[in-house]
Amino acid sequence: MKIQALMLKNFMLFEDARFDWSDNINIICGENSTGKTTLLKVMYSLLKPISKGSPEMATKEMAERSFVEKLQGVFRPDEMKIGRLVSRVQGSNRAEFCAILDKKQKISMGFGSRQENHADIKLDLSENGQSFDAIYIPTKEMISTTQYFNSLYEQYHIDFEEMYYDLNKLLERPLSKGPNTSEQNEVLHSFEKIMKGQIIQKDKKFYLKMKGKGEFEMGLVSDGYRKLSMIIYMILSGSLNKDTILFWDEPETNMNPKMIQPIVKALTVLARMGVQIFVTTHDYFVQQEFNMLSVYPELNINNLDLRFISLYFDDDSDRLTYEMKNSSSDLAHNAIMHEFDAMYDREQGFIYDI
Amino acid sequence: MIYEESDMKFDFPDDNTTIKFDDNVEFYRKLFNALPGSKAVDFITLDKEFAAFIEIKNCMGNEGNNRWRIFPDNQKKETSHTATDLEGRDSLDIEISEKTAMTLAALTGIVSFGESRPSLRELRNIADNVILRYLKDGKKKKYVILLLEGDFGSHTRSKKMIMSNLQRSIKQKLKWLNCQVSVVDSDTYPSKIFRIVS
Repeated sequence: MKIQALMLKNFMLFEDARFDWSDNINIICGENSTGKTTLLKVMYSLLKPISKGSPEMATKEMAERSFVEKLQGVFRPDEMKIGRLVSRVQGSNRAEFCAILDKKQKISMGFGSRQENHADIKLDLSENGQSFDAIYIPTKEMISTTQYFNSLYEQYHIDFEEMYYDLNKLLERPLSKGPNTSEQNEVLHSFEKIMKGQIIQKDKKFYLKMKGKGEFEMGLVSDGYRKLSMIIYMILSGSLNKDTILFWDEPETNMNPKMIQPIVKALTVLARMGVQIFVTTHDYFVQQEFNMLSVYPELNINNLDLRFISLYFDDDSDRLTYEMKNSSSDLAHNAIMHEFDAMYDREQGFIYDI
Repeated sequence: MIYEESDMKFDFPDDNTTIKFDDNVEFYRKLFNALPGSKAVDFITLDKEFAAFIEIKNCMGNEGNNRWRIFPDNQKKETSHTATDLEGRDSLDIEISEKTAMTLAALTGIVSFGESRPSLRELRNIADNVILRYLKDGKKKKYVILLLEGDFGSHTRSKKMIMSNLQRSIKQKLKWLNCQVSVVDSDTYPSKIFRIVS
């Protein structure tokens, strides 16, 4: 399963937008509050209810409840009113959005700004029972809190977006049977090389086992390593496989720049394996490591299709707009690179009292 | 007044005192060059408020042979593939820092002669000013400027990032001197100090 396009109308910051995605790697950039995470969340909300292991939707009502609850859980609007996700204008308004999937499949959703928990859902799905998984890796790591998180989440109102709960459920899965594929081993090798150890799970708790040093519980391991541990474990448990759509919100969080190159390398291996990847980033190194693959085809031996999306507010209209290119060098609005140049300009201004 | 250097023309304000230092015969060529490895910046210019030591590097059209020099601390010297002999050459941050130090040493040398060498009179006025007015007065600004012409930007690094990196490295090497270091090009140069005519 691949997401070919996402169309949004009057959804949060997006007035009218269509994104045609790459089957391989999509890198979404932009300043804060330009809707990067919104794009990941809305796609996840549309995909997760029909992914592997999700409850069957025998009736239209069940389908509606399933999508609405996912949207509520992921975005957590006040009082769980989904109408709060409609673009704010005077009077009433209506949000419409849809994900176009491969094999001419489509998931559409729409609701008005006064709706609390009702939405119009239209499913054009050719397959009964989907075999893909949608994984969302949020900015905070989860592996150090796996043990009691799900029971807490199920019994109490704790203010965590539902992606954390879903991710935790994946981390609770046992190890899968059978050998890994060569691509899985390549990713594991790349990450385990950084961490100089292996991830093991005992009684729902995770440990980093380092040669000659013993086992370290995740609470004693850095946040960056914990994130890598999550990926490693999801590969080992079979959750992250060739049929996965991976959404990773700001992989650079808590990572030293030195760790970015192996992470990008591992993501390209996952893409080669068949995983469709969506990454948001504020980070120069993440963006440019991917960009190298685009501008130097000899580095992109598998000819992966990379798309760089820049979200920004137009200076004249002050409207959220976007551009999409095959290389970040071609982006006319690149907040990361612009800020480097702006910093140089500010420094020269200071030096010469301009 | 218009000066030429590295196939470029520069206009310095007439009110300021400017010399093309390494062109000077009486001191630079005859005396200072006796010091092995002696070198100096291209221009010294004095305004009421500041003194500027300016080095021009016009690599336009010859970027390939100079690319290794934009990486500080000779990082790429050993692995560069250039058509030019690299013996005695350094990355630009090292070269500019050394040129600044040697320029100040040369100016000190000029001052040391006092009135004894009439042929150095013009230079002595400038040297006296630099040493006794600008360097002695901590409030007067001292600029060390590298003008780097050439298309060195790449897909992953803009030219401004490259210039910032060199600037940081020169600043670090000149921390013994109270000065402002600035690496600029024809798009970003300080027009209050000079103008590029062509």
